[in-house]
Amino acid sequence: MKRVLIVDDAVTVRMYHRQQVEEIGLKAEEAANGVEALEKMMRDNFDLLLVDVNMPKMDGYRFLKEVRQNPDLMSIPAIMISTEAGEQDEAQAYEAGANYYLVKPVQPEVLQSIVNILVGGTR
Amino acid sequence: MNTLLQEFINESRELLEEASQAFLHLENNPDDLNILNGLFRAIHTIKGSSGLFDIAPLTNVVHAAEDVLDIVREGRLKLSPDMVDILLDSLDQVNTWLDDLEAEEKLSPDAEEISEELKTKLRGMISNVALENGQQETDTGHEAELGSNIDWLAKISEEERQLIVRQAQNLNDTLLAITYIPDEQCFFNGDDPLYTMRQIPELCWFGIETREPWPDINEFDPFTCLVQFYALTKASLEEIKELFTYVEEEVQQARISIQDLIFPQGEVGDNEPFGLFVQDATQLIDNKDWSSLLKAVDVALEVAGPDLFQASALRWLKVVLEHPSGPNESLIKNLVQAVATGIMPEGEVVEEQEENKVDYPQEEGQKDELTTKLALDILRTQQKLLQLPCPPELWTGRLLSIGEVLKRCLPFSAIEKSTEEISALIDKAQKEKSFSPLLTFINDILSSKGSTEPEPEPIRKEPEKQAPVQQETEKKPVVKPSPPVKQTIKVLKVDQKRIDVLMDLVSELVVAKNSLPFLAKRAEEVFQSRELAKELKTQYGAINRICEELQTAVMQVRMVPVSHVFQRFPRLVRDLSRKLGKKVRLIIEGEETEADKNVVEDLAEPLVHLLRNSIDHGIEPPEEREALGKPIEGEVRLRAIHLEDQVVIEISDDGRGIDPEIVKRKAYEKGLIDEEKLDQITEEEALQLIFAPGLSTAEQVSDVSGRGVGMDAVRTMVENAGGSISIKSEKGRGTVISLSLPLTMAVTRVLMIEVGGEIFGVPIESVMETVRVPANDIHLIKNKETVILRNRLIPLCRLGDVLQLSTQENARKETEEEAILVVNTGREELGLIVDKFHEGVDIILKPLEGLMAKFRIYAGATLLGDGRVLLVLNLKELVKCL
Repeated sequence: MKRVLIVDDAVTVRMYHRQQVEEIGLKAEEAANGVEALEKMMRDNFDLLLVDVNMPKMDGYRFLKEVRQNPDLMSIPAIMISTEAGEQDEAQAYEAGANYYLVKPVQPEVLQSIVNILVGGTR
Repeated sequence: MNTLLQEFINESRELLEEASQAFLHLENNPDDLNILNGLFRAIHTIKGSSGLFDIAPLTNVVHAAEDVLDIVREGRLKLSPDMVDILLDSLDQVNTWLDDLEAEEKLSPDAEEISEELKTKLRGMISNVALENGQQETDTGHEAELGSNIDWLAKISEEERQLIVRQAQNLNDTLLAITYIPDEQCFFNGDDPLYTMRQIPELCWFGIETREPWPDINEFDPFTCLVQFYALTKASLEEIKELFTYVEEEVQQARISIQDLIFPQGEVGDNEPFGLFVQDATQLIDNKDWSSLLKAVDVALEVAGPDLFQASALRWLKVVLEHPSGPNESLIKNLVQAVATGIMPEGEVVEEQEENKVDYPQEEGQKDELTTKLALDILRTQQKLLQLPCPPELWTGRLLSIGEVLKRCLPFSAIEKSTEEISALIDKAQKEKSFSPLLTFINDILSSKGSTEPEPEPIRKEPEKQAPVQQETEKKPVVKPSPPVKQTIKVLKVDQKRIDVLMDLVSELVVAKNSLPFLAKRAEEVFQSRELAKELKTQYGAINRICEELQTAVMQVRMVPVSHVFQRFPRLVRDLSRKLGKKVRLIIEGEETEADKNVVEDLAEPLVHLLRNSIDHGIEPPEEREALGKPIEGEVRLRAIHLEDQVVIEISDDGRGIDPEIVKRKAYEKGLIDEEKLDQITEEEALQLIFAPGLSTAEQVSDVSGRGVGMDAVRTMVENAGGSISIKSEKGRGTVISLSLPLTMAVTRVLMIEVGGEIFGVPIESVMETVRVPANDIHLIKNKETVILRNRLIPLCRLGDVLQLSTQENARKETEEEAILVVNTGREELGLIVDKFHEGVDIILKPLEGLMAKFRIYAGATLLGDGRVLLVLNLKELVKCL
C-alpha cells in the first residue's frame, strides 16, 4: 500500500486530507510540523508528501529543504498546500523543493487525482 | 454532526483561547516576536481550516484579522489598545459562530452583516498603514469581487460606455466601480454626498438615481437623502478609500474591466437581415481581415434599425475594431455571435482557459479527463521547475524528485515513454550537472501534446470556494483502517457525551450491586442457606470495591482544572478596568486546582458577577486611592484551593469594602429585618444580608457601596451548583468572598429519614445534627413550635405535615421524644420533626422528569439497593412551603 505523509499543524486540515487520501485506498500518516515529519520519515518510507507552509518548530519551506538535501529522502515528490494564492508564495514553494502547488481548500476530486498520479497509482 | 466539522470547532476554540492569551501577553510585551508569531499562526490556522467549510463570513473575519497581524508582525503597525479591542471582539464573534456551528451546523442569519462590519473595522486599521507607507495594497481580497453589486452597468447609456471604451488605452484595463448609498439621515451628520462624489479623481462616469419612486409631495421630506450614486473611475483604491473615509460603510467598490462595459442593448429584432453579414464576418475573422470586417459592419449598420439589439452589437463591433489597442479577437467573435443569435455570450471566452477549467467530474469518463489534464499540468509545472534557478545544495534533490514525478506521471498522460528512458536521462543530467536533458525531454512531450507554453493554471489560482465537506462525505461512508497505535499520544480528546454515558453506566452499576446484600439476606432468611449468603457477601465485597474504584476513575476523567474558567478573566478585568478608568491588577492563584467539569462550568457565571462587582464597586478610582494612601493600582486576587472534598474559590480585593451600617439600614428599610434585629445584629451578620433577595436590586447600587447587584442571583447560582458562599469585608480595606463547591456533583451523600412510613433522603451537607428532644421541651412561641438547643432558638416543622403524610404518632405523649433533624437551609436553621433516622448512603441523584419535575420540593430521586425509589428533599424549596 502506498503511503502519504500529511504535514500540517491544523488538526482539521490533516483530518480532511487523511479522509481524501484514505478514500482512494492509500495509507495516510500525519505530522504536525516539519520536525515531527522528518522523524517519521526516518522510521518509515513514504511515497508522497503533502506539506503545509505555516507550521511551528519547522515550517514547510525549511522542511522541504531538509528533505531535498537528505540522500535517503530527496527523491520523494512533494505537494505544497498553502492558503496563499500569490505567485510569490508559489515560487517560494518551488524554490524550497515542492513539485506542485495547491491552494487550500482543494477540491477533493482534484486532490485525489493528483495524489493518485504522484504516488504512482494506476489509471 | 460530521466529525470534520466537530474537529474544526474543537481545534479552533483552542486556538482562539491561545490567541486571546497571546493578546494579553502582548500588552505587557508588545515587541515580543515569539508571541506575535504564535498569535499569527493560531489565526492563520483557523483561517486555513475554515476554508474547508461553507462559512465565508467567519473565514472573512479571520482572514482580515490575519492580515492585520501580518502587518503588525512586519513591524509596520503598532497595536493600540483600541485595535486589540477590535481584534478581541472579532475573536469573540468567531467564538460565538463556533457555538452556532456546533448547535445548528450553520452560522446565524445575521453573520454576513456582522462579518462585513468587523471586516471593515479590521481593514480600517490596515488602510491607514497602507496610506502612511504609500504602499499599494496588493491583496485582491480587499476588493469586492466583481458581479454581485455591479448590476447598474446597464444603466449607463451605450454612448457613454462607448466613449469610455474608446478612451481606454487597453481593453484589459480596469476601472473602479463605486456604489454609494448614503444614509437617509446623512445631511444631519454634515455629509454632502454630491460634493463628495464630485471629488472623485479621474472620474469616467457618474450617475444618480432615486432608491424608490419619489414620495407624494405632501409626504416628501427634503431632509432625507433618497438618492444613490454610481461612479466609474480610474483612480486607485487608496484614493477612493481616503475620499470616503467617513462613510466607508455606505460605499462599495469593485474592480471591473473595460471589457465589462461592452455589451449590446435593445430589442432583439429578426435575425434574417443579418444572416449574410454573419456569414461574411465569420469568414473574415478566420482570415483575420479586420479592415474588410469593419466595412461589412458599416454596411450592415446602414440597413439595421438603430434601436435593435443587433444594431447595438454592430456599433460595438465598430468600436472594438477601431480601438487603438488593436482588434480583440474573442470580443469580436462574441459580438458577431450576438448579432447572429441576439444573445451576447457571457464573459470573455478564451479557448486556452477553457481547456484548463476543472469541472466537477460526475462520471468515470470525466474523471479520466480530469486526471489527464492534471497530469499534463504537473508535467508543465516540472518544466517550470527545471528552468528556475536552484541553490547548489538543493540541486540533486530537485533533479531526483522531478525525475520521480515524471516517471509517475507518464502512465497518466498517455505518453509512450518508458521509465528506463527517464532514469537514463537523470544519470545524464547528474553527469552534466545540468537540468537540460530532462528539460528537453519534457519540452518534446508537451509540444507533442500541443501545449508548449507553461502557463498559470486557473485550477489552483482560484480554488472554488465551496464546502466539499458537506453531506457528500456522509452519504458514502468510508471504512477507514484504524490509525496505527502511536506512542506520541498522551492526551485523548473525548466527547463529553461519551463520558456522561460512562458515568450513567457506572451509576447504574452502583445501584445494581446494592441489590447483592439484600439477596444475601434473603438467601439466609428465606432459603436458609448461610453458605450461599456468605459467598454472596464476599462477592459483593469484591464487586463493591471495583465499583468504587471505577466510579473514582470516571470522576477523575471528568476533572478539569479551574483554569478553564479563570483564563477568561484577565481579559474581563482588562476590559472592565479600561472602561471604568481604573487601574487593576489581577492575581490568579491555584488555577491548576481541579474540580468536576460541570462544577467548573457552573463557576463561570457567578465569578464573572463577583469580579465585576469587585472592579466596579470595590476598587476605587486611581485619584481616590492616591488620596487614601493606597497603591494606585488596585488588586483583585482570584484563588482556588482544595479543602477536603470541596473546592474553595476566593475573590478578594483591596478596595472600599462594605459598610455594614449601610447594609443594615437598607435591610431595615426594605423590611428584611425588624427593629429588634437591627439593634442586635452583629456586623458579621449584617454583611451576610447582602445576599438576601430584595436587598440586591439595581437601585441600591449607588448608595450601598455598590455590591448589591446580583448578589442574591450569585448566591442562587452557587447554591444550585451545590455550593455555598460567604463574605468578609473590612470598610476601607477590601472584601473577600469565598465560594465553596463540591469537587464533584456526580455522587451525593444523603441521610435517610422516615416519615409516615415513607423514606426520604436529605443531602448530608445541609444536615447540622440529629437530636432527640423530649416532647415537653418543645415550646410554642408565636404559635410556632420551637426548641432551644445550646442557647439557639430553632424553629420546628413537622415534615409529615408539610409532605401531607399521616404520621404514625398523631397522638404525641408527653414523655415521648421527638426525633429532630436540624438542617441549615442556607438562610436559617430549622428543625424537621421526623419519625426515624436511618443510615446515610451514597447515591447518584437523578433529577425528576416529566410530570414529577413540577414537584420542586424534591431535588431528585435515586434507586436503592432493594429496588425502592428514594426521593431526596430540596430543603430550600421545602422552606418556602412552610
